[in-house]
Amino acid sequence: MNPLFLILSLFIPFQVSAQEAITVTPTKAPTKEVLDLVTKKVKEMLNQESTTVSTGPKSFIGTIFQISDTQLTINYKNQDKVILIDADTIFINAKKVKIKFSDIKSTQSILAMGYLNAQNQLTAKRIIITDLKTIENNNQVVIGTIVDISKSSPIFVLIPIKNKNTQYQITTDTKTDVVDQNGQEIKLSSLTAGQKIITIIKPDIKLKQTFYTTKIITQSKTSTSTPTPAN
Amino acid sequence: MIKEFVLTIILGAVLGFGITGSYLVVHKNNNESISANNSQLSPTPVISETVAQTTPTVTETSNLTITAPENNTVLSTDTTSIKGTAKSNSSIIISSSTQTFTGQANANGIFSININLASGANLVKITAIDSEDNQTETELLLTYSTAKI
Repeated sequence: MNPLFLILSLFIPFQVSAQEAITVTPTKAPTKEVLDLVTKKVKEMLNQESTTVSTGPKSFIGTIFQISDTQLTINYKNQDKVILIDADTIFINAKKVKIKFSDIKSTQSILAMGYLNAQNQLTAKRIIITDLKTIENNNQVVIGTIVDISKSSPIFVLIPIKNKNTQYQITTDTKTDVVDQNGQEIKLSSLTAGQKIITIIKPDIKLKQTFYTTKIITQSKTSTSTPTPAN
Repeated sequence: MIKEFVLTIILGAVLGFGITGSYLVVHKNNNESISANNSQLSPTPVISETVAQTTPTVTETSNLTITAPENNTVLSTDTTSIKGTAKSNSSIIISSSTQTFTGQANANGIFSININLASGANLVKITAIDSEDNQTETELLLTYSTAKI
């Protein structure tokens, strides 16, 4: 046997095996491909969930400004929506009494429930005459610093962190919920000037240029709360 | 005899160098591979950030994305979970016209907060406030109805 051939035949297979070991190095830690695959799967699941939700019943609110034999056009916050009417559509007035399509008038506000078509038009199954004022959400969330607290009345003044040129005069009452960052209830009387808070306010019906707060969440200077979703 | 002896020595030397060299190459590559994989694994938020950017959203602002429920959804139960993403550890405040619910996004910015719905249409405002006090808000129309739709 040729000695050179013998040497090569012994050495080359070992080198090939070494090369294979390099290229297919098995590691238990996920590679970029695995992470990409997981990301892709998560996206697919989210897409699937979204598709499922999209097929369910939908609703629109708005004020009617156009009526034809087969459809209504409504507007809410400068957006027009087309509501398709068919023989199955049920109409209900504000007193929860069934009415006819002919009872529906322009300028009335409605809540329409049904299914969306490909043109984003709602084929209505149920249309309810609704007062939009009862639906509107006038709540406002403000994060700011208390600059003054009245000693004689349940009022304090708040300056927003991001807009120091604005001041909110805010009233409280016994229904005002005051909690710390961890959701622990604290006394309203424990609030002090200089304290940073998040508050949910809405215009006070009784006092002009004054807001009423339903909830106050005090903010500690250093966040120590556990980042867990909570109700 | 001498010829075979020399040949054996050469063969042994070649094999020895081959084995040693190959072991070192394999060992070095293994270390690099593990190191690279570990560096890919450590920043786990990368996954969630990618998902957050491409999540099919109903309502989206730069710092707040609602993944469920979709805007304009009609629900047959009076409770639902508002799910979404915001900046990490953001405070989340959800208000309807009658109630307020609060929670916090986790380190990856993901949140899920259960809320109650009133009968009929509910305009639900969702506000996220991040650690730098930046505030982002979005609104959903959610309708609770037990009627057959």
